[in-house]
Amino acid sequence: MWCLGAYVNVNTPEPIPVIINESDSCHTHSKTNADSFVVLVEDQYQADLLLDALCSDPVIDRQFGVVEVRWSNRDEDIIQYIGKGLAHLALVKENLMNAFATDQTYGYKVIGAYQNYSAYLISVKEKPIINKQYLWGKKLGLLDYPSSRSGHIIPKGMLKSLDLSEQDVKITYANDHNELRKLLASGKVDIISSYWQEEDSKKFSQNYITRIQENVSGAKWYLKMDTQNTDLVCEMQKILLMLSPNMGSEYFNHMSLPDECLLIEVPQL
Amino acid sequence: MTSPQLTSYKYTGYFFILWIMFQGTYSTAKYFQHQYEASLFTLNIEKRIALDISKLRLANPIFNTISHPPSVKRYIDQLNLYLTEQDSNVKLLKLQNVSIDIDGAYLTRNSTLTPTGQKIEVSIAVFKWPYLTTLTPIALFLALIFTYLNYKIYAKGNNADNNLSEPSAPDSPVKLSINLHDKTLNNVKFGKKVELSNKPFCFYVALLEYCIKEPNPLLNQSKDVPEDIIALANKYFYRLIEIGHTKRKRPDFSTNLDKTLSEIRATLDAVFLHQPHEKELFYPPKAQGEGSRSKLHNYALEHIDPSHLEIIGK
Repeated sequence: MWCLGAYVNVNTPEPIPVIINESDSCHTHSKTNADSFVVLVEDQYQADLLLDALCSDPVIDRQFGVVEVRWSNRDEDIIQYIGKGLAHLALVKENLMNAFATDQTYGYKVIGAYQNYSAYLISVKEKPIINKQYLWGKKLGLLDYPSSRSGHIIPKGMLKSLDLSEQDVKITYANDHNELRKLLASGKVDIISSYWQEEDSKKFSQNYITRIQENVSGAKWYLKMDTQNTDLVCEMQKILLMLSPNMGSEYFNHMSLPDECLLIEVPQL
Repeated sequence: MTSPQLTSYKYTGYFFILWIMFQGTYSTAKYFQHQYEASLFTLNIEKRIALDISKLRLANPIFNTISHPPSVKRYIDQLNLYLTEQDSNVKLLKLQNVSIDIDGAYLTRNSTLTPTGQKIEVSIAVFKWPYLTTLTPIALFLALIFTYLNYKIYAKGNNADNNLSEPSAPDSPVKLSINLHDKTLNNVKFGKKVELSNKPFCFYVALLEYCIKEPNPLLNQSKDVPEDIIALANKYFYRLIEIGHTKRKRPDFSTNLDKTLSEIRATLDAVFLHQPHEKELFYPPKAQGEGSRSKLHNYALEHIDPSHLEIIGK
């Protein structure tokens, strides 16, 4: 009876397989081509959109055998991808690309840019004032990753220019812009530093925002141009122009294209 | 009669003890198996989390980063989904400051993962051991079989040396009871009764009594029957007349000795049909061999022990 209980109908656990998935791939029709086209985007939603479009694209089909789309929002990962030229196409903030001089090392060129935006201090009950007296002792919500401009670099610069040390304001960190807005709405902070988007007016008043800096450059699409692969540039621009309105945020609706490619009219054909 | 009832109680008790024993062993084994399984799953979960730490958006005081609850929660849910598919008895309950709600009764096991410079608290819910699900029909079945086998063996043993319907106490030394009221020889333990006719009956009772009294009785068929036996036999015959068995005149006990003895032997054969050893105690020995030696033959009951005998109605 003991053996029956101890050894019969026993559930032996297998090692738990990978749970966090950060890439997806598909094969083009060029079965013999082993070259893969690596794309880096911010999240899985963008990745899925691109994967479908790229695998059925004739130019990609001619040049590559596999399309691999990876997504990550960790600075560490993005630095590896662009700093080592691992991604062929990447949606990255300009300051990170500049930091690694990627135009010189791997010939990354901007093939599409989203509009510049402004960084604001946002509050709930009054319009924030940018001076030392007002900000002294206030609870300020910022982002915890240092590459964020509107949520980290610009407000930190503002505090420095006002001669406010980190002890003079109470800084609470959040992980992304949504979390930042939750902090503000729940009253855990008095002010947050972020961008302003239309849907914010449902929860917060546009009268209670104060611009810190305008013309912060938006995210940009970079293509690795180690060869003069103009076919690929134009094809990518066509695809990005087509997909951008569906990318999940109103911000992506307005993409501007540098005039290098003469085939901007392609989508209208 | 209470004995069949007692027997049934005995076997019911026996069955329940066996059942509880089998079921208890099985359940205990299952309990340890449950604990072992839980610790294996727990190790696997911790291993998975340890492998994923660089990808998880958890707070890290070294870099002043804070956790991202939605993505951590999604991670916990995905992990638990896998565990549910694997029929696991544990689930991930809490990772750092992000916890989820789990239905059902469980015990919480806490542990801490310590990547360099970080402490990551992990809580794992171990579901309570489902006692009732370990009830197995096998235990019931085995208990039934063993009870039945035991009953069979016991009943067989009983038949061999003792009859259950016998009222007298099983350890009573009385093996042969002689009843003057109905002129029967009675095998006490097995309830076998056989009637004997007047002459051999009286002679046999007299023979028994004589052999008990005499230290070394020597009875030879070629010699006359001792007076003492004849007197005893007469005495018992008068007793039979008193009881009302006969009105006929007293037979001559000294004649036809062979016939009388063989009638007695035949009756004893019938009374102790399956107990030859016990029969020997009461059986007038037969002559061995032929000729002159048979003249020396002693038909006295040399092994008689008064404690094995009972005479009712003297």
